[in-house]
Amino acid sequence: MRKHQVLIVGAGVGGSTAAFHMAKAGLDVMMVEKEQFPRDKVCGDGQVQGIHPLLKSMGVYDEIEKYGYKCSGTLFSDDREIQYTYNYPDGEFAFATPRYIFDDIINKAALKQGVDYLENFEATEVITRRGQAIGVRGIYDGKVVELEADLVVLANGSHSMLARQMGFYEEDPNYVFYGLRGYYENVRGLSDVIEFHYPNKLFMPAGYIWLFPLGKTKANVGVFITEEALRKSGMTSEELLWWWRDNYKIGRERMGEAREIGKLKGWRLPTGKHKAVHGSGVIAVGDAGNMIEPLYGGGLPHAMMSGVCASRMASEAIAANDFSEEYLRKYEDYIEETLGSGYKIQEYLRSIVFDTEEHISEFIDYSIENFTDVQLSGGDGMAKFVHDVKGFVGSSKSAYSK
Amino acid sequence: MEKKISLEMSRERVAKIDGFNCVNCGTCEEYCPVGAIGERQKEVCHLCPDCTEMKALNVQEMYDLRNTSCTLECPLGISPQGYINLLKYGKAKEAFDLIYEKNPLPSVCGYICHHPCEQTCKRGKLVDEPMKIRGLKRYLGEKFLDEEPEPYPVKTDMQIAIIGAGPAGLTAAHTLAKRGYPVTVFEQGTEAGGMLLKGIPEFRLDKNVVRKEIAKIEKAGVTFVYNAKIDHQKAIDELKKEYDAVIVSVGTQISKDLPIEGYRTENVLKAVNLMEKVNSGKEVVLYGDVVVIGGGSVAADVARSALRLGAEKVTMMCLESGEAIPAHPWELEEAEEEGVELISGVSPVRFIGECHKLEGIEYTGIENLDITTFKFDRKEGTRAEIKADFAIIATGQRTDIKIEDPDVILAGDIAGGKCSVIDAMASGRNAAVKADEKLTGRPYEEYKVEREIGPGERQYKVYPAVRLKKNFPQREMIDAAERIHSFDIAEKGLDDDSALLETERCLSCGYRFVDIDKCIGCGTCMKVCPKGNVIALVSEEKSTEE
Repeated sequence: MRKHQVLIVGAGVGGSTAAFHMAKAGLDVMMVEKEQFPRDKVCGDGQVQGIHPLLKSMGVYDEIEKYGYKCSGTLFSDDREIQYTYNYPDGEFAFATPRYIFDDIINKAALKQGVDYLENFEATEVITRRGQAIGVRGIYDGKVVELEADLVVLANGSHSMLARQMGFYEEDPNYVFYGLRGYYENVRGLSDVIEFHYPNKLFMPAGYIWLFPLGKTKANVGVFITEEALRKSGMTSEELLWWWRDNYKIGRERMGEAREIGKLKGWRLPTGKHKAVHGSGVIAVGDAGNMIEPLYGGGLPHAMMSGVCASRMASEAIAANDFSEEYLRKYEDYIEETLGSGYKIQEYLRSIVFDTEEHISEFIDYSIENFTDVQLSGGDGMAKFVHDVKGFVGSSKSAYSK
Repeated sequence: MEKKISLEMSRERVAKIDGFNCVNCGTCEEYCPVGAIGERQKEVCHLCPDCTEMKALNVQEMYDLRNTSCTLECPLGISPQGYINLLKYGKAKEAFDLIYEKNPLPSVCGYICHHPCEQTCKRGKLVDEPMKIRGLKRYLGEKFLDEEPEPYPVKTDMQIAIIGAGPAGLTAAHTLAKRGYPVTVFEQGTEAGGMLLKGIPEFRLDKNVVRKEIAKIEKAGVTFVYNAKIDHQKAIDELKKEYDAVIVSVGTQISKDLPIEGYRTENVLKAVNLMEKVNSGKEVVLYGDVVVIGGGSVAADVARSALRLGAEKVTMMCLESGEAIPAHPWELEEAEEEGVELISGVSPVRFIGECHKLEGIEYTGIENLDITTFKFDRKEGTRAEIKADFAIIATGQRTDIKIEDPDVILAGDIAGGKCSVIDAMASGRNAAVKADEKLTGRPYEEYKVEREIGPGERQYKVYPAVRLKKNFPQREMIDAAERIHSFDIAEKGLDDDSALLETERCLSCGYRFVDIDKCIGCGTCMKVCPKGNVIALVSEEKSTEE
């Protein structure tokens, strides 16, 4: 096969966003994918307001609005089962769209821009020559196939062995989370708000049980927990979910009579972007670059944002015909510019609020006291936290709308 | 002018093993002169449900699995991960050599080993089914079956005598010949092979393969003397005059009696006698209902043979029940597929019939079975009868030969312990090493199967989730209805393509590492590595980099 300017490995949200913007900018892009779209992905399925401008820029906002279930607020509860609900300002919504549909919409949007595309291609390694990535080797139709490109973009998710080969892989058990997800019907007490339950110190730091409503009695329910906390709990993520259902009033109410649709699935979620994700001739996007938030586990906006950054980097590198590690270092700056402040806030909150159950309780008390129907603005850490939930406004908002 | 001379030895280079490329064959560990190399097991991630067919683990269980390894299970100490992955990377000959180094009967094991390695295979525990390690060994063994070996050079004039040419004796002979001894094997029959030829039915083990592998041992320099029955102390004393060491591995060749009422009835047969007759090509005809008494591997073999000899209905009857049944689950499964019925947890009371004609067997259920002494209580009111035209007793074997000579080294069944082929071979090899120690004072380094395995470093963690998307070959048996009509091999072998595909399934969970505090930087490991791209000599600072 002929050599392309850019080869994107993985056609999920990160890869497809990158492909969309690159193709739109006139680059010659090849994208390969292990699965076949549409395909499922373990996720909370929530699309908070922060990514709406991104969806609009790709022209898919209306379609996603059609499929998405509209959520009007966010609920937090703690170990004492005291709840705080933050309602979004009028006219603002978060969507909950199953990733089976969402990812396919993004993927098709990219393909419409004229991206060369290959499904059922299982990438096995990055081909390097004198330390420079020059393409990707993989298995296609039972044969080993080699694809070449000036720039390789790794967007093949959290288990990316190619990212591991390049040294981008996150191994810290305090920053590698595991997510468990199931779809349930007959869930009681839902009210169009996204729910985060921080039941106990078992989940610390930052772990929670989520419920994203997909209907009046239907929800996407899951567990989000670090490998380290999972080890200390002595349970599997599945057992933790049942433990919450059996030991908490709200758990019994929501899940007591719930019926599982399909099967429980799990996934690995590397967070925090603590590592450099560029090398000579190669950059990484989304989960493959550990770009998930280290506090909430949001990954969609970060995958899309980094896709935009990757597109910008690719255009510049191709214009300069420079794919050296040195030149591609700019990619880190672009990521820092768009996502850096968000990570900083989350790391900070992880260390002062979501480190113990007492601190979370304090925070919820504070929120109930101060934040009821008050229009929030930046200020102290707590307020920023809520801002963050509100949809990546405040300090990072300008970057999102770029 | 005074010249300064430094007497401090500087160690400029140390070995570094690349854990991604290492196939964990263990060759470097065996050759390392200072014992600086050890094994580590990677974490295999299985925290999420639905990642594979198997139930998810909690983190501690996942960590605990790092103490187990297929390399710990082989009684001969051969690393399955090693030969599977050498084959995968196009080094079939190196893979075969890795096996042949310690196992002179690789194809035999490829057919009938009870593969303890497969039971601990993490793919079997965490993903779907264990690696078909035995199938791959059979593939490798048969691929190089016709290769002519060079005779091992004789390095000493100390003579070794081995009595009995079963798997234990053959392994002992091969091990010692490899170490440079002139070895003579005495066999009472006309052919070497022992129970491999006489006991195991043809549909499980191709006899030509056995003969070819024995011929290879002979070509490597071992002398065989046939029709030499040495079964008493006096004959052994004679041998001791001529030979520097004597190893006795004569096996247990007599089926135990079942002295209950009516056991002298004509159609009450013994397993060993029957199998010997069948395997020597004599015509044996069974008919009607056959009852096999016993629950071990031999009983299962006999039951399946009985079907092929014309029996209409075959029933196995054993004391044990459930998991305590000594035959391996897959043996029972294969027997069941062919139509063998199993009555477990019972004991026969008497054989019913006249002296020439067996009519049935009376038995009762039992309880409180002690599996070490075989004592049990009969259950009241469970007396029953089963129709039988033939009864075959397969309740274990014994021998009349008693040797109590401290100078003689015992090996195989006669030495006691486990009685499978691979265990007999391990026992033969240990006997050989003991003999070597006795003659040369070289330390008795019984191949330690039990070793300490360290937990692998985090960067080597294995994710089965990324290795599921291939259509792997299935274990193929000839259809049960078809196979019971002949003594042809029941299990199909792997061909080139499916063997290569099968190697892709290996999760490669182990690797070797260098303890840099012990390493002297000699580079031996680098030279002996059969894969070639694993070990490098690096500066000491670099060795700790990822």
